[in-house]
Amino acid sequence: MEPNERELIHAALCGDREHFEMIIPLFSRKLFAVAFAILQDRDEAEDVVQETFFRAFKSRWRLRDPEKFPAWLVAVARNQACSILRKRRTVPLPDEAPEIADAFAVKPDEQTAGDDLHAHVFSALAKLPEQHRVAVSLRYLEGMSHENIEAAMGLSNGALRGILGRALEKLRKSLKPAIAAMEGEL
Amino acid sequence: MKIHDDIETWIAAAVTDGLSAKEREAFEQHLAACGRCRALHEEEKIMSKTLDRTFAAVKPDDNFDNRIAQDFRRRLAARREFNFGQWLLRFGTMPGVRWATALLLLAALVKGGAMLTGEHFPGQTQVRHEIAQGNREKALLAPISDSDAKIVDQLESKKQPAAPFGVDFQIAQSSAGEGRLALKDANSFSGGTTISGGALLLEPTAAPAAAAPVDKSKAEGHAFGGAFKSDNAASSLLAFDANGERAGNDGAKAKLRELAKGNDMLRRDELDKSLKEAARGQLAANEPKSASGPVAALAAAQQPVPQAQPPVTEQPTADTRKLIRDANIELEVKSYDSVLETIRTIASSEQGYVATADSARGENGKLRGTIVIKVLPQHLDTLLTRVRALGDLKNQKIGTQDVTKAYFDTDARLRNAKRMEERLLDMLQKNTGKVSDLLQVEKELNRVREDIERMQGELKYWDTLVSYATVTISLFEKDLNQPAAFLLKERANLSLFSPDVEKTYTDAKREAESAKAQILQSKMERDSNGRMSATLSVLLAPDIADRTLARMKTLGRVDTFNTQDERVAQGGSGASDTARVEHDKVEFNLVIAHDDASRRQTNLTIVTPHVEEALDASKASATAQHGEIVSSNVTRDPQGRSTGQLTVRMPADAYQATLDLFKKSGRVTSLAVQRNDRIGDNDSEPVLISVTLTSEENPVQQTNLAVLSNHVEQQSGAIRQAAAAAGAELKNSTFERQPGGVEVANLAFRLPMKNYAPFVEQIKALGKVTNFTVHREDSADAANETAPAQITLQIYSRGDIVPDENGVWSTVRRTFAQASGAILWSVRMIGVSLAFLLPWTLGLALVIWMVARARRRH
Repeated sequence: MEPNERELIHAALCGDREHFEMIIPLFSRKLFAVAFAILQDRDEAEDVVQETFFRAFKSRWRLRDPEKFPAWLVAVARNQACSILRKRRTVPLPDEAPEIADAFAVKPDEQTAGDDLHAHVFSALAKLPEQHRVAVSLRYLEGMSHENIEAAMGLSNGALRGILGRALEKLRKSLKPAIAAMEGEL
Repeated sequence: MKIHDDIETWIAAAVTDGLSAKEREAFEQHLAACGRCRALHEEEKIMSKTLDRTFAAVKPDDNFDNRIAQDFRRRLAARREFNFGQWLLRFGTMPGVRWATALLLLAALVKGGAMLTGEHFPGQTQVRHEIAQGNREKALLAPISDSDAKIVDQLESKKQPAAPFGVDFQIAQSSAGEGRLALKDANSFSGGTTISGGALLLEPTAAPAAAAPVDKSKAEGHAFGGAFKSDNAASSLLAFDANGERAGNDGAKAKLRELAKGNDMLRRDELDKSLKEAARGQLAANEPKSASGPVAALAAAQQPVPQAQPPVTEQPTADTRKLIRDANIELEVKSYDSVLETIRTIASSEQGYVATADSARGENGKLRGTIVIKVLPQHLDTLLTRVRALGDLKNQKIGTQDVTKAYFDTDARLRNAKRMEERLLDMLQKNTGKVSDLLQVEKELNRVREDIERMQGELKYWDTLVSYATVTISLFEKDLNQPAAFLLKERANLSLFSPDVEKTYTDAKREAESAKAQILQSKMERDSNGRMSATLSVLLAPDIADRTLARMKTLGRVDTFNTQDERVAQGGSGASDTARVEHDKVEFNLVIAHDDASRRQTNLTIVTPHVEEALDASKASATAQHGEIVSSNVTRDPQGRSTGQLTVRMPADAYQATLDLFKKSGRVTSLAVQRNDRIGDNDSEPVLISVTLTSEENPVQQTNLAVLSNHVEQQSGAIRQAAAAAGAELKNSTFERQPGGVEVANLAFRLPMKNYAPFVEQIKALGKVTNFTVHREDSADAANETAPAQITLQIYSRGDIVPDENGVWSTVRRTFAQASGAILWSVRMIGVSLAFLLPWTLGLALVIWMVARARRRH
């Protein structure tokens, strides 16, 4: 963590609302990536981010170490997203993957080959474990480095490699036909 | 591990820029060598690009952060209202509050524990430390109130390791807590002597000169007592004495401790003196030059008490002892006055005098008094012997009070106070300091002077008491308690019958008034039956009492009359031949009742099966004979027995006819005639007839039987049937099975006499007859075959050999009951222990949690 970022976090934890608002841009997109990875819904993910900041502000006194703040924030967001997911699952659904794919499915008349592929990607992502999804999302949605992802997810040094390796392998295997088909179309 | 074996991780790291330069180089080398891995890598790169594109489509827009911040602000504004729980939690987790809470909890625990165990907090700081003494000139100084450790450090810094003497001392902090310790060592402490106990006192800053009570040259070399002075402005004294285990020093030690308790100037001064004297005494007893080495020290320490009692300047001998003697004697004499004169003579001959004499005359003219004589103590005994001979000795008490200690203590304090006064005066003269200091000294001087005066007065008082013995003689004349007079109280109670109560009452009142009697109470009343009664209570003068009573008696028919006399002694008790007798007023109580008592009263009991009809018939016949029905009633009990009562007042001429009519209604079982023969009566007066009609007459024969049988229930059933067959009526029956297996059936039968004998035989056949009693009333009716007989029968069985309560099942049951009781009890105890422990556990957990949190945050 950079020194100025550290100071900013410290000020946010010890200070008032204005100080806390200053750290929102630092973490909002990371939190969005985490929430989106779990929920795969932009609006819901945004709600989660808002709720996360609000909750973090309310209980900021519980955390005084700026170093641990990013991981803590991510944990709050993950819990929040998971609870939303649990609530969503209480509505019985026959199959989760198509439903998620539907959420991203564009209307038939606007449907293109790329959109089809996106739907496949999200469908494949939905089948991954939550941790793998979050790692992939942080990497591809936010373009974060390995170190930052590890810090945000509270992983030990090097663990992310294994996670990403397994996640990408699964994705590759499940997307292989779709990619091949699209390339064939192109 | 080779790259090839873990190729998925490697290619994932490669496409997500997770490889270091060195790793990338190794990876590329492997790809160049391995076609399969290269193909996988290519696929992964395509897939990675697909992911990039896919995620780029869902990236938040540029306004995302603004939206988040705005929403944050909005939600926070909505939540502005005060949340007490949150505030409390935050307040409670502030570091200061946490520590304060923890400290408070700890203090509460300590205080609670102290309260539970009844221990006290240490009020005095005690330091035990051993130092080796050496340097004779150095004075050690340490502020006690600051830190005991500091003292120890200072003492240690002064100690000389080469010195061979171990000194153990305790420092008692003065109650003011401002004392400073000054220890001036004396190198002539005998080897191995342990110094313990301390008096720590404050000397005024302005009196350094006065605070030099010890002649240094003298103090040196005294093993068992000393006062040490510091040159510090706020110097203090440490007085210490030799090892407490040495018997001889206990007195001195106690004295020093006592001195140490107070912090007033007087005592301080006395301490100086005491210590000096102790030192001097020690010097005399134990030559310092020769006292060297442990043996000499031991010998010195075992010196007898007097030398180790520094506070008293001169040891009182038997002659100088201050003894207050007094005597109390109680004498019974014939004449107070003559004895008083004799006592005066005796007192003057014994070189004493009568201090006070007082007397009081009792109601019977006898005197009682007290004489106080002051006499020289040496003449007390002879005086007492002579006084005792003057009368009967009833009581004697001779006492001696030894005030030697108090006297000499006060004396010593007085001298010290005087010295203090001098010193203060000296200070006043020399003082050039502030006015407030001067005022302080003046104030102190005032106090000291007050003390001096008080103590002087005390000593003078003691002197007086000691120089003369006090003899208190209580005298009383003989027959002191004899009564002066007797009061004769007379009381007369008269009960009259009168046909006209009202007239008699009026006459009686008039009579009382004419006799000038004092009427205490008068009452006339009429009851619900219209009968009159009256009461009158008067006090009569004794001289006319007899005449009035005689007149009252003529007012009606006298029922009862009695008089009581009582002698009340006045002014004493017992009897006296000489006391006069006074007559008190006579108390006279008169009761007038209506005189309607009939001349004769007849009570008749008739047995008839039809009570109600017989009663009606009797009423009718009584009315027909011009009788008056006074009362009548019929009752029927649950067993079907009826009883009727009828009371009639009949004219005398109709009496016999009515009685005959009544007798016809059934069988007469009793007839009682009561006749009141009085003067002036005649047979024409009405007669009361009281008839009792009953459907059931008393049995002529009453039999009680007890039968032992093994089958009580069956046997009782059988006998019931037999009774029914024998024409016996079952009056009542009970059956009982007792816990021990004993069965008891009680049955009562009523049957005609003719069936009695066979039925009893049947009963006897039931089992073993253990009890048989017959009660028979032999009357004319007894011969009658239909006369009733009553049989009370008890059939019973023996109990079980092993009673139920000792049986197997009841034992098992009891065991379970007790076990469950024990379990419930233990549950209750667990509850109690939880109630004890839980608050403490929670409190401790809270403290631990707070400390842990605080540590984590720092």
